[in-house]
Amino acid sequence: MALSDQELITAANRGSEDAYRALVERYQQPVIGLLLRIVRDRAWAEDLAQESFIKAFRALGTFQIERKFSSWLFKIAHNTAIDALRRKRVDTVPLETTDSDTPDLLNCLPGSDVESPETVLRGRDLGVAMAQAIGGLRPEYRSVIEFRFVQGMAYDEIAEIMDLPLGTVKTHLHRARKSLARTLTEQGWEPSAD
Amino acid sequence: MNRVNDRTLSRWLRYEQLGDDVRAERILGELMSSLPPATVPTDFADRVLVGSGVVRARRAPWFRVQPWVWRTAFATWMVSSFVVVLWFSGFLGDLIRSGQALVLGSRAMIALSRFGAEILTAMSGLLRAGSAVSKALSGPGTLVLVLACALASLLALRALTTLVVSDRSTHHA
Repeated sequence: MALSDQELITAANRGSEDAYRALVERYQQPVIGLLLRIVRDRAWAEDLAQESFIKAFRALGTFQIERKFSSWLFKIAHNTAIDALRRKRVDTVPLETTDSDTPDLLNCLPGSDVESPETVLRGRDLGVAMAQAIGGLRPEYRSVIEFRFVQGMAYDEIAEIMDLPLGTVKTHLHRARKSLARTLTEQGWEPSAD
Repeated sequence: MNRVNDRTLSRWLRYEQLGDDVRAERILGELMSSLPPATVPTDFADRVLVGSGVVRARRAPWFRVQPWVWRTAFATWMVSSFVVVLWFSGFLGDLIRSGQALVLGSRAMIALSRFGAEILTAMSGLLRAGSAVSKALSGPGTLVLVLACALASLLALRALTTLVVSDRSTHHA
C-alpha cells in the first residue's frame, strides 16, 4: 500500500532518500505538465520543475503537515514559472507554432495500428490545434486551464495556489474557455449540430 | 486524439456556443483529460535528488574506492618498482651473492649506534652541568653573594670616579 504524502514527508524529514524519491516520482509528471503548459519549452520546463522540487525539499522542514502537499508544491512550481517568465519576458508564443513545439502532444497521439490514416491525421491536427490555442492564452489562463481541467482542482484550491481571489479564478477560467473556443472555431473546428 | 475526442471537441464548442457553462466545463474537462500527459525523463528523480543534496552524484566505480586503498596501492607499486629495478640491474643480486649487504648493513648500524651513544653522553653531561648550576643559584647563600658582588662593583665604580675627578682638578690647578 502506497504511503500518504504526510507519511512520506515525515520520513523525508528524517532523512529517508526513498521518501524523497517517492515524492518526486509521484508529482514529477503533473509538475512538468504544468510548467510545460506555462512556459511552452520542454527543456526549460524540466529545469523549472527540478528547481521547484529543490525549493520544496529545502523548505520541507518548515512545511505544515496538515496542509495539502500537492497544493504547496504546485504553488512553488507556479511561482517559479511566473518568475522565470518575468525574467525572460516571454509570455505567449506565436500562433504559427510548429509540430516541434508540441512534442508531448504529438509523440503520444494514438498509433496508426488502431486508427485510419485520415483519423490519425485529423487527430494530430486537433492535438496541435488544442496546443496552439492553449499556448496562445495568457500565462495565468494557461495555469487555470491546467489546474482545473488537467489536475482536476477545485476553484478554492486554484485560488490558494495562484494567490488570487476566488472570483478572479472563476473569471480567468471563463475567459480562458471562451478564448479557447473562439480560437478553435476560427481555425475551422465546428460545433456539433445536435 | 481520436474520433471520439474530435466529437467531444465539437460538443464542447456547441455548449460554449449555447452558453451552457456547466456542461461546457464538464466536456472541456473530458477533452483535456484525454490529452496525452507530459513525458518525464527517466533520470529526472535522480537529478532532483542530486540537485537538492539528498544524495551525492553517482560516481564511477574507481572513484568510490576508499583513499587508503589508493595510497596502499601506490606505495606497493613504488616499492615493487624499486625492487624490480634493482633486481634487473644486477645490483641486488650481486650484493646478495657477495654477502656484502649484511656486512655493510651491520657496520652502518654499529656506526650509527656509536654516534647515537656519543650524542647521548654529551647531552647527559650538559644536563648534569645545568642541574648543578641551577642548584647553586637556588641556594640561600647565592643571593648574598650576588648582592655583595653588586655592592663591591658599585664601590669600585665610585672610587674610580672620585679618583678621576681629583686628578683633573689637580691638573687644572
